[in-house]
Amino acid sequence: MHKLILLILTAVALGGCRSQPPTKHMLTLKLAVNDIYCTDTACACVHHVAARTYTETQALLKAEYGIDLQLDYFVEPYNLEKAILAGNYDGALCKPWIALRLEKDAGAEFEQVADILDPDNNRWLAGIVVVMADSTFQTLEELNGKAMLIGEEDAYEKHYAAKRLFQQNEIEFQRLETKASCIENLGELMDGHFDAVVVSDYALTADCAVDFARPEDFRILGKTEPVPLTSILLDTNKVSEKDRARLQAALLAVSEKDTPESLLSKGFVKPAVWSPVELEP
Amino acid sequence: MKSISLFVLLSLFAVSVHAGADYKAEEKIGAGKFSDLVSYLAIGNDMLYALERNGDLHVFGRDSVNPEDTFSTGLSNTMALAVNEKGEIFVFSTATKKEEKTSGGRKYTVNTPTGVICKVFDKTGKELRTLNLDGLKSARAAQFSGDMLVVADLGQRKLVFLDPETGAVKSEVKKGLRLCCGIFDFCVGPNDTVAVANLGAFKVQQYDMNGKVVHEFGKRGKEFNDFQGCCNPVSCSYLADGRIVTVEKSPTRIKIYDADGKNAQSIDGVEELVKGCSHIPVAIDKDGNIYLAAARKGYIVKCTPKS
Repeated sequence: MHKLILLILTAVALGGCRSQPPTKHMLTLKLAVNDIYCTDTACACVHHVAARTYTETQALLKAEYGIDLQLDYFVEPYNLEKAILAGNYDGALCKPWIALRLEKDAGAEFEQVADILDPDNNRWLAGIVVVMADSTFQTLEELNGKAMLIGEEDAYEKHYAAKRLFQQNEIEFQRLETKASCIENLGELMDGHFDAVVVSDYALTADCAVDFARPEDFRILGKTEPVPLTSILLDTNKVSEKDRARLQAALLAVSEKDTPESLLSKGFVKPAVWSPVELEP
Repeated sequence: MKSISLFVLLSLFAVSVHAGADYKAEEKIGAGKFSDLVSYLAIGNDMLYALERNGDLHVFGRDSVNPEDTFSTGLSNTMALAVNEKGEIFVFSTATKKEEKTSGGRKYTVNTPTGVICKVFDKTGKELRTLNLDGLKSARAAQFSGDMLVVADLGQRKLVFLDPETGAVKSEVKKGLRLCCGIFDFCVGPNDTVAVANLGAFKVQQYDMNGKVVHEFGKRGKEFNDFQGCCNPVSCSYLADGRIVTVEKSPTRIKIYDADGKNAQSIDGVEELVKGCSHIPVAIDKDGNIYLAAARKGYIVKCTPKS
């Protein structure tokens, strides 16, 4: 009996050693999350692709780096916007444009700390100009004077970047309209209401469109400039430079060693430098 | 930059300003009585029928919180039922086969629908006959409209109008349906029409019996009249006065639009009924009570008109 008690005590002590918090103070950061490839924020119809979860990474950050990364998931990006504006978070994990365009109204100053790679280890997001595969259009220039449907202002790649692409190629449309979702744009194209539409480059693989639109039904005529797909952004008014650097170092270290499989890719990388001209004073 | 700020502020202001509907969320029905997912609701014989995916059918009387009767249909994977004017209950079961698919190097399994079995019962639960429905691959929703049986066939991605005696296909709607997430629901509308909750188009679309769109409304957006989420609405149903109830999931939003699909009002007090991308079945009885199934939570929320 005494031996059993001794064994249990030893096990508890050893277990305690393993889970002992690091010597540094625990850094707690609360982020609002909307990630295309995360199961907790993606639509069920793409869960076979959007299978990323952060629980394992959170546990690693806490156990090995003393960082308690608390994540609140927002399936609806409009609710993420409201959360950012309410100022209840230290930062966000999302398409950087969502946070950056709101920082003035939120009284925040966001800084990209790290980008997370998608399942193809890609860090970029672009808008793509698509027409129906059986249409006569073969080049972007042929869309001059036609009807075009793009994204709204909260989607950089399919609004601002798309407009810049058309401007650079001196393309003007007879009709230029906006809609809020890629699936609406693809539906309008399929119904013949527009000659071409702009959607996010993941729309045919990681969006509800996978259930009713096949990639081979469309032809891509152009691609916008790339912007970062998903970043961790921290509010510099709330998180010190030292703590931002600490989180970045930990995220990179977690990704470099044994990247959690649940991240679906090689994990986090240093952020791509991106300064949207629309935010310049 | 100024225009961006103004747009953001105006949009969020628009989201927050809307009137509450003349309805209140009143009570939970059937809590603890379901053993599987509540897949469909229907009104008939002055009763509320709640179908479970395992084939069990629960019958709730007026004002009853617990089922007055429960019977097994002997079917499985049941996701639709409809009650005709004679009070006969049509229960639909979808047969499936497992198929392995690959996307981005990842393998996953899907259940592909292969056909439909429909059994007809009287109101006591006695089996009357089996309806041959060779023209269908799946039945995700069903309603009677006039002398037509209308079935939402997600497998073939079309709304099918059938002869309820023979099961013969009379007409169908396929074009323009943007169905996703395994959800395909519709309701019977005024003047021999049906309205589809065309969630992938963020629209409610009203069709006549020839499959022609006679009215539509909706888009994704921040205004209260707009729909939100990855795809919505997931279901809809008309009130007797011509207004239409729409149901959105994740986040749950229950709204009542006027007959033109404008001036949406919210039914406040309805909690989050489902987690993630799931169907929320809806039914409305002759007194205007609205029933919403929290499919996986195992109960039905009843919303009643404010007196």
